[in-house]
Amino acid sequence: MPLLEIHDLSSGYGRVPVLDRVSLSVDTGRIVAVVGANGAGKSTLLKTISGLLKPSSGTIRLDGAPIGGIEPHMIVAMGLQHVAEGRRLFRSQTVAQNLDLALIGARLDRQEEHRRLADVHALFPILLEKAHLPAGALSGGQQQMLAIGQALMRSPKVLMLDEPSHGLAPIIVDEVFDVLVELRARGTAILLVEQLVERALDLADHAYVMVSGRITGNGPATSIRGSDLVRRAYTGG
Amino acid sequence: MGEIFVEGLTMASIYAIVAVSFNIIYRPTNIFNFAQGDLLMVGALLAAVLARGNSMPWYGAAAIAIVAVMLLAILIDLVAVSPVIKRSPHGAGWIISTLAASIIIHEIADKLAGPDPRVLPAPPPLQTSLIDFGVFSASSFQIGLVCFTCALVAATELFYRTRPGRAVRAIAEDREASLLRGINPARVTLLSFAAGGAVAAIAGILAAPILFASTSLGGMLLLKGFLVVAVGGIGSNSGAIAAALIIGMVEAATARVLTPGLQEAVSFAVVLAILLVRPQGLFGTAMGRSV
Ligand SMILES: Nc1ncnc2c1ncn2[C@@H]1O[C@H](COP(=O)(O)OP(=O)(O)OP(=O)(O)O)[C@@H](O)[C@H]1O
Ligand SMILES: [Mg+2]
Repeated sequence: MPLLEIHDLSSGYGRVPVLDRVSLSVDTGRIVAVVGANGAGKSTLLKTISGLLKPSSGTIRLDGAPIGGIEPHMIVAMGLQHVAEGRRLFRSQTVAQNLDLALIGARLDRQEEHRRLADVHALFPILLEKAHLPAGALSGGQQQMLAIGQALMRSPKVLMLDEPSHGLAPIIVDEVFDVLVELRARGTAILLVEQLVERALDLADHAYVMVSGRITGNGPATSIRGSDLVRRAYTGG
Repeated sequence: MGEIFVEGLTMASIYAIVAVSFNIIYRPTNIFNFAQGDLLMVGALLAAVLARGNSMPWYGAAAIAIVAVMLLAILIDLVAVSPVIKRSPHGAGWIISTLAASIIIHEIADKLAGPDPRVLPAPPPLQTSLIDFGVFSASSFQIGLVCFTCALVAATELFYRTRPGRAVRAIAEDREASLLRGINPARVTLLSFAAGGAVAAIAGILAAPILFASTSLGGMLLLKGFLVVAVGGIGSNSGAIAAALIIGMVEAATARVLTPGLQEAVSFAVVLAILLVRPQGLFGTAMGRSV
């Protein structure tokens, strides 16, 4: 059974529909990419899965349990994390405080909290080095690492990332993607939305192409890569 | 001079506590609770009724009044605030609904308690009788009040450094991001109303030995609390202290030097002058609503 399974999902903003009967699934230990032009509805898809938007119809299952329409903090508690686009950190709080805050409501004992923090520091050593700086003082790449680090504090079963490479130098993108590979090896199910289509398809196992709120095709990332689907998704042809 | 200073400081303490009670609710919700004055009035009246004629120990009466007002504040959240925010998170429906809560509580209190002011003594062993310190004279209650206000503000600021306190700041900074990190905003709002209600009740209970407990106490301190948060910058407790000091001192000086009748006029003029120069308040940021 896939860790994340979406069937015929529709949603939007108020009365404005965006997603039109989207179905997709992500298995444990897999990276699944969603690619599509600006405005296709990729971010809307992630926001609906994480509970920021309520689905108008369709089902979302996390590890078998329906999560459509429930509050975001409940979905977090069930093991899903959404790293939103634009590195949404708490800028006035330090790096260490941002990581610590992600544990709110997790009800872990001290020892486990320390273990999680040590693990995040092992994946992103810079977050230990900059622990006492305000998040707002970090570079773009460091902020992205902190945003992902916050998500990892909860040891999610499913990790969703919205354009993690946006505005980062190529060498930093490598570093971030290496961590995604490591997480995949640990069994995390990753749903990745990316502007860098080539790089995303290199990394992903499977990919979906989205055009105007619909999935127009999907398949193994390598076969999607050379197909017409992607070209058409970006040229509107 | 000494009297002006002591009186100013006393009123500044009460105004500052009222302002802190507003800020506690405002920070995570961006809501200015118009029923806050009525919560304060209920706290003062209830404590005065319970402690009348020493029928109950002062601290017992105060504790019951504080808990009752906390529950009332939670009720306001559940009935008049959370459902309204849920329907339209960016709307201003809370203005009407908290105003409605204010009117309802006020009318009920008026029916039950009548308009007559009631006496509530200072918390024992403190006394409202003045002690002569040479340069100035002050009562032990006034000294205790100033110390308590400092302790309250310090404790509130320390709370904002703990994990739950930082969750409150996180919601204020980026509501959507805090939802994604697993913070439950409904719970934070509820707890903020409970805490803000408790502090309002304390403000009323500590104002009553000086101003008497009556149904008109709420309206008067709501207005002063509003002036203080407007001048200090809404949400900022350091601003609240600075603004409360300014307003308390201006009032005391006006009453002594000119006439008590001009207190309000002069303090409003000073507030207006400050807001003309700094519309966002002394310690406020120029940001508007963050959600
Ligand atoms: N807050 C909003 N309110 C109303 N409509 C919105 C809102 N956010 C996005 N939309 C609309 O929804 C559609 C999908 O937007 P979405 O942000 O999901 O696209 P995207 O695929 O993530 O694009 P990008 O690559 O630019 O991030 C667009 O037509 C957009 O205008
Ligand atoms: Mg997007």
